[in-house]
Amino acid sequence: MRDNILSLCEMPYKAVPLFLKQEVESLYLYDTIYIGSEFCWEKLYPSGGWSQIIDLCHQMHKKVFFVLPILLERFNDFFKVIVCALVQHGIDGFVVNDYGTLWYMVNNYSTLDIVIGRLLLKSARDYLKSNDVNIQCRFPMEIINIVHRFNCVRIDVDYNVLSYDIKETIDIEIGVHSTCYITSTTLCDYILYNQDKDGVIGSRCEYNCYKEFTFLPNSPLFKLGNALLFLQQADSIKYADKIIVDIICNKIKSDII
Amino acid sequence: MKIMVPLNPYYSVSELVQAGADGFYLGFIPNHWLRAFQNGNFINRRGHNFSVNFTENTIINALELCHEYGVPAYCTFNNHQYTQCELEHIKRAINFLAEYNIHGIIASDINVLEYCKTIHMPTTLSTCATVYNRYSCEFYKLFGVNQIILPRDITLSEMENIIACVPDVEWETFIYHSHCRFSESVCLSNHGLYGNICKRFRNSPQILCKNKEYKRTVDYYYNKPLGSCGLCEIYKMNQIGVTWLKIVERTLPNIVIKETCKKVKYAIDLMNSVDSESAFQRNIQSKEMCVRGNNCYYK
Repeated sequence: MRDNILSLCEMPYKAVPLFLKQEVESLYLYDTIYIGSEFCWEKLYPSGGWSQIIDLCHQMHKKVFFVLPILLERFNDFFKVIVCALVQHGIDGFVVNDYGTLWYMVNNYSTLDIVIGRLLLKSARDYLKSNDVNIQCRFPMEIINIVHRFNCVRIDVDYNVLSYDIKETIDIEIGVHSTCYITSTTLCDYILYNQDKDGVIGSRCEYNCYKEFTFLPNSPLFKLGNALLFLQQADSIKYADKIIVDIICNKIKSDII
Repeated sequence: MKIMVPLNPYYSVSELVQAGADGFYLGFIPNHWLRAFQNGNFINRRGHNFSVNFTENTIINALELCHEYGVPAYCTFNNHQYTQCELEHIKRAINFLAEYNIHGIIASDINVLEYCKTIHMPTTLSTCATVYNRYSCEFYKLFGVNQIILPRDITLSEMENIIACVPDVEWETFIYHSHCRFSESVCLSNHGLYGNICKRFRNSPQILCKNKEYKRTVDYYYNKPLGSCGLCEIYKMNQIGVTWLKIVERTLPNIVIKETCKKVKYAIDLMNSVDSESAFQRNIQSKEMCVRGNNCYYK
């Protein structure tokens, strides 16, 4: 039986403990919990707010990995603070979504487990092209080399990337996101809520967007915060060492259906 | 400061150099790539568009003209990541271009960068690499990049911090046209072939307009003209160490590129002729120069 990962990414840190306590009976399905955010640094404030969650997960005998969005230079100071705080509180590992973050972690926290996040695997993901037969051998060599070179424990992928090929030909552990696949991230629409008078993008945002999603009519495409995602059509996953269940996307899927 | 300009067609080298171009970037689809993949796999981010990519014959002509005029030419293999079978064809294409003394390669795939390093081919890191922080630049320097193109959606203060922390590379920034609202480094749609995903949302703005505030953001991002300009920031960019200004969009008509080139050249000359940023700003934001309202790159 495959191990499962429960992703609570994008959920504000204040909501996570309550969710874990409410769902305690179903948590036996999972050996690892993801917290943090894949897309937005604004959701990670404050740095000390995550310690309670780590303690709670450890009490439940779950590993806790913290998911880091692509590091923007303006968040560099906060990035260093939050990583340091998480390590001190006993986080089990990090999921990184850009090579800069990977490089920093490898140089400063080499003993921690590092997982390559799905934003680093950049194979095309578009439901309009999913049946294109001309696509050949889609798994990029770059990622395989990086995983070996930096001793990463796993690579997380979107399900449709894996559907092209090839678990048989690669020797790295794979976690598969089972509900949605990401197609793009963008400058955030919501950031303008709190924009400075001079209109500078990059000011702090306090808008709680994690419950807001917008579907494009007659398509599986939807917008969640600053990301565009597709709902997964497939029901079963053939190749996976770990299956990642994204709780926010699951909720959206169930709301729609 | 120098101007990096898209080249297409090859015989426009002369007029673009006269308009102020200091370097060219171009796309290339060799025949062996087409035989191997038909049009299923893109060789670059405009790989579906044959009219903006050179063939073996035309790229030789382009490179010869660039050498004649003494301007460097860079070929872009900037698809995010290549598979093993694609990589073999990319290496073959780079070897071909090396025979005709191409100045450098623009890429983001680490394997391509590493290969270029082994054959001593200069490389420019594409904006398709996710370079939003200083550590990413340090990481990619391991693979021998000489020049880094910073993303369109980075702020000037971020630019300044990154450049200050990462020595020994040249820096290139977007300056005109195509201010995409999305981050190109994580745009994973089949860009341009089946209609861009971003445009699917853009064409349905009423969906996004849940309330008044949201409507404002939609207006800001989706209803402004796609063309953008960052000319009023070049004084600051020059001070913080940017050396190349990139005019974007290989698909635009040559006449548009030429006029843009003249405009950027004028801005650089203006910058060199004034003694303060405020004097530069006063002139550059004149009615004639600033025609795109607040659709700015770095605001």
